Amino acid sequence: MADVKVKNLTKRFGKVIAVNKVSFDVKDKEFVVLLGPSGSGKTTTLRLIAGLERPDEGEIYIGGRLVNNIPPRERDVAMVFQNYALYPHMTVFDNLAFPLQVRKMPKKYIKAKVEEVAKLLKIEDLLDRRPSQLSGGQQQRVALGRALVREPKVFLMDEPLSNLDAKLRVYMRAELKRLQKELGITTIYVTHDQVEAMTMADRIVVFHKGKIQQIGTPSDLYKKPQNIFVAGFIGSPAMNFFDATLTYKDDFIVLDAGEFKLKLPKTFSSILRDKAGLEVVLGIRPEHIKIYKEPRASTVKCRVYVVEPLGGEMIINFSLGGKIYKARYPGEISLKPDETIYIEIPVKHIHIFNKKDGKAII
Amino acid sequence: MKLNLTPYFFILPALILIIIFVLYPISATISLSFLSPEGYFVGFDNYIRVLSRREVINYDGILKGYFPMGAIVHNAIWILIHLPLSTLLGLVLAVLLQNVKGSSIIKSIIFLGMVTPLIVGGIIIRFTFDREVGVVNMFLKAIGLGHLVRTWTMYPDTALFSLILGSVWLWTGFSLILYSAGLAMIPKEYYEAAKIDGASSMQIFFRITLPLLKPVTTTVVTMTLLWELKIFDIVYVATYGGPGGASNVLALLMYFLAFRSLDFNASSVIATLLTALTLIVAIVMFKYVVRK
Repeated sequence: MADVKVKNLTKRFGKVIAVNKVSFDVKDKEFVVLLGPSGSGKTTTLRLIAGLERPDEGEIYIGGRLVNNIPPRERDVAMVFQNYALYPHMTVFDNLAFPLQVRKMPKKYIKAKVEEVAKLLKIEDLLDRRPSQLSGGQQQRVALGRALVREPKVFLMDEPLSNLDAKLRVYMRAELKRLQKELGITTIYVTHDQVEAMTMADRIVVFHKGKIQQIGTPSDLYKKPQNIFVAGFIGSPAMNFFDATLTYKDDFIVLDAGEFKLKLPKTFSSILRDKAGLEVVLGIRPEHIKIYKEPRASTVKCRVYVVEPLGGEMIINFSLGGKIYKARYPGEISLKPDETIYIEIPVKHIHIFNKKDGKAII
Repeated sequence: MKLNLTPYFFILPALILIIIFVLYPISATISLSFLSPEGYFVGFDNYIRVLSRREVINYDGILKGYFPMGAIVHNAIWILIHLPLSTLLGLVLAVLLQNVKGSSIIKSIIFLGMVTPLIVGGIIIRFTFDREVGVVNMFLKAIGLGHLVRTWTMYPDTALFSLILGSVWLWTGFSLILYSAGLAMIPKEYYEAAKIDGASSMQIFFRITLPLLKPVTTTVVTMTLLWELKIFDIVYVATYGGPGGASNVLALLMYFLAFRSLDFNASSVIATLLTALTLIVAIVMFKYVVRK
């Protein structure tokens, strides 16, 4: 087992900077997810840690050892690929045994170890089959097994669940998390699916355009996003954003969003005191918007655009000032398109970002 | 149940052409090999007569180790040297050139041997091994082996080997291109997974690359074998089977028997034997492909 340290890591492909001065730590036995949209540099970072790419700048430490110039096979990491990369000409047994065979382990040990891992992953019955004879879920287990079999210091996973169907993905998510906790292997997991990241990670590293946007626990990222990108990327449906200006009125700070105004409590004034006139972006998560059929104090009138029922809850799309926003309504409510509704934006749940640099103010 | 004849009408045009131009000549040739020049059935007499000729198998040459050893033996030697050499060379070059910038230019140059008409290839081989202008002799002089200089295709003990080596150059492009295509088909994830799994370059080559290239190897080996069995043009122009039959091969011998000796029955025997040999190779290959 080992910790992983990445310091000022930079990787360029021609003129494109894929990874730009990235630094983060992964503690021993921790499950860290690198999250970001495609092209954000997360996979490249993983490949740099694996040794499949060489960094242009920066350092990578695995278990305290600088590994920049150490080939992949000596880094003692294991990797699960998006398409599994199972060797098609070998049986499941040989696929699992391969990492041990190339290390010239004794045959008896290999057999015992492969059987142990196969049992753990419940693939004992598949050992004689070829990868082409397996279902996606079974292939995924074999790929995991091949990574597990030699007890690596670090587990690297590159979108391992993205080729599975939705149901199996949800199932494997829990399986994987449990397995990781059971075995206590330091794991770095790459995904673009924020639900996967939120449900599995001890900590998440959010990537965008080759740079780290924020590092934190799932709850941190959800509750205290440090910028608009993180706020918009984490959470489903995504956070609603309204352009607004900070103004003063009767000693109160008022957020003027055009269609509505929000009076902020005095507790905010220490932070916002000298920011009158500042262009900001107001953020509010769909689950925090309250919806009423009748007007109340401090509600805003808007129009239903479309309703998406999810069974236990509903996503209500409403239009306000010509733009569409989303609200999550627990339970059921009967609404038709173009019906008038009244929304309330609870001040205690709002996020305020500087419009210029996107950084969080509150 | 009524027999539906419609599908057979569709294959009829092709079938007629195949019968006229393929099946009829083959059966006519085979039947000719069992007939006397006057048209009487003579059983295997022609076969015995042909196979006991020195041009086909020369036991004395084989035992004492001098050429000619007989066309069948020459074809066998051709296969023994040319098949492994051209296949391996193509594979090694394909692997070496796999990730090299501008390798397509090098591959194209090597592939030139394949697109060159074999008649031209044969002439080039003759010049390559020529005493005065040949590049082989120039090379020998350059490395201080000037005493070996001679026109290699003119001596019984070196004529066949010169042609074989020349044909390696002509044919290597074939296995190179096929192996290059085969390598390009292997997803790079397999190599990356193997690297992380701890395999060395050698282990990756022998345990991942080579097994995944097996279908390509089958094709290369089969096509090469068929080519070697049917080899004719380059021998015809480079040495004319000489000197003294030292570089003669089955296909050329068949031609000589038919159009120089006008012994069509003997020629048919060789044609039938060649057909049988190529058919065996083709069937084995076909079975392998179908099984896959």
